[in-house]
Amino acid sequence: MTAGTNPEIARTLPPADRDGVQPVPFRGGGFRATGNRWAGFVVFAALIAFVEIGIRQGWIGRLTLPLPSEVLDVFRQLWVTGALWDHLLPSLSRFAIGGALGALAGIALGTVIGLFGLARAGLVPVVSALFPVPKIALLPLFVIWFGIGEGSKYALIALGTFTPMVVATYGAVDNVDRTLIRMGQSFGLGWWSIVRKIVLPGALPGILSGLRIGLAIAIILLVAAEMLGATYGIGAYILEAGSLYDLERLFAGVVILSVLGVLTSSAIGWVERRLLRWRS
Amino acid sequence: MELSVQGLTHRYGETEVLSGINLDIASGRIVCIVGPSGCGKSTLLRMIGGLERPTEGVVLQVGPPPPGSLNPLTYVFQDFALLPWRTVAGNVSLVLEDHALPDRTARIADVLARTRLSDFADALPRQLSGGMKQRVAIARALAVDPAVMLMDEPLSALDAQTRQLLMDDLVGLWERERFTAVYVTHNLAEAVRLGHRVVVLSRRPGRIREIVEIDAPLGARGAMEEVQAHLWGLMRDEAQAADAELLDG
Repeated sequence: MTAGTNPEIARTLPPADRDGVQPVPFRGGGFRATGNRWAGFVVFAALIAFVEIGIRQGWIGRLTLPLPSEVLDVFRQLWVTGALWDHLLPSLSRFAIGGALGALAGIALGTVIGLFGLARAGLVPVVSALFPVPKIALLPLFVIWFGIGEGSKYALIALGTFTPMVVATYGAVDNVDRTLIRMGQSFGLGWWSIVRKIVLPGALPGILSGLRIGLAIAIILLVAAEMLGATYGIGAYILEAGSLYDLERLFAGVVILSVLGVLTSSAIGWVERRLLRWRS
Repeated sequence: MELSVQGLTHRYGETEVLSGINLDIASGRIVCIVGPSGCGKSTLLRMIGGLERPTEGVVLQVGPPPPGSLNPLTYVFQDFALLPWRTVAGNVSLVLEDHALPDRTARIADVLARTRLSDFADALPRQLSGGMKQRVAIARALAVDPAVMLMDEPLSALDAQTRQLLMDDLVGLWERERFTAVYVTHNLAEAVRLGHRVVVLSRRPGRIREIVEIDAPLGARGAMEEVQAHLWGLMRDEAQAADAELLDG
């Protein structure tokens, strides 16, 4: 029904032709985080298409970037020959074991620091001293301690994940609503019950965002460790390709790392959506 | 079980916040504590329940807690203090889990029924209105069979209409269960509606200014305007002075 056919509405509408009468202008738009799940893919596709066309047309030099279609061909070969798994599996297991060790130890120590004043006073300076050290510089030390094999790589990746996890966890424990802890005490809950049922779930959002940073650092250190002493692994593959200036293979390796990063991040996002459904 | 506050004085550093408080809390009655903001009424309540230690004086528990009481001194907080990651039933369950109870599920169902929350057992706190959240907190308090309920401005975070509804709920609950409560509030209407005794504290350092006994039965009270006017008369100047005070001066 249009306004013209309904006298009730027609009467409330301003007469458009009268001077000085106009609708109030709308000013509330913008500044809102709206998403479009395909926008990311479109940007990626556009960038790749741009490079492909640019190289084929000649306005991007052959030595500047590899041809995306040839990088894709490298992937096909990696898949067909099975070399992909020879490199990917050792990397994934190093990432998983080292990352898990570091994250668990980091959450444990972070919780202890968050709960006990003495631990905080004693350990926060140590963690702060350790945090900015480029962990890769310690690899020779780990090789002496844990041998040239997998042990030193696990240790390096674990240490890299550990420090951001400690900092994120004790910050998250600090931020747990004190009134909830006081409530637990007022109902006579045991210490361990309060930690398990109030402190840790309350700290979970902060711990998970720490995990995002920790695992990204783990990927960086994974590659670094593999570049310095491994025959198989994505890092070794990239190093080999790089020393031969084989840009196609180098980029294939880099793409694998990016995908690993994206997958890790979306896995954490999935866990967050599952476990933090209670957040408003 | 009764409580007796004897010669309680408290200081934060140099500042005296409570001074020489003597107060008896009789079983089966509601004691309301009112006073201007910053007079230490919430601090006093934390000391009565053993969450904070007074500088001088003691809070005595007279007689044994009733058998079966899991947590004799139980709080209801102003901001509800519900775990946002647990459902309504889970929040009640939390305070029972540390006790070996054969009938935990039945007990939870019982308190949810008594507070008319049975239909919301699986809801998360973020889905509930303020009034519902406070009813969950009251259900949680009832679940441990308290000897004394310590209520710290339980209705202050709610709007006026919800407050009215919850006051009716509390009156109904008291008529059925005759619980003992210490009820801290700055709202005189709540105090005269729910209190058998109203304790008026003075401005900082909090001292007992007067104790007003209200004999009318809880179920048959109106607005009690005369008593409210009398209480307001006691508090008015102090409230004004408290309002003009610098917070950490």
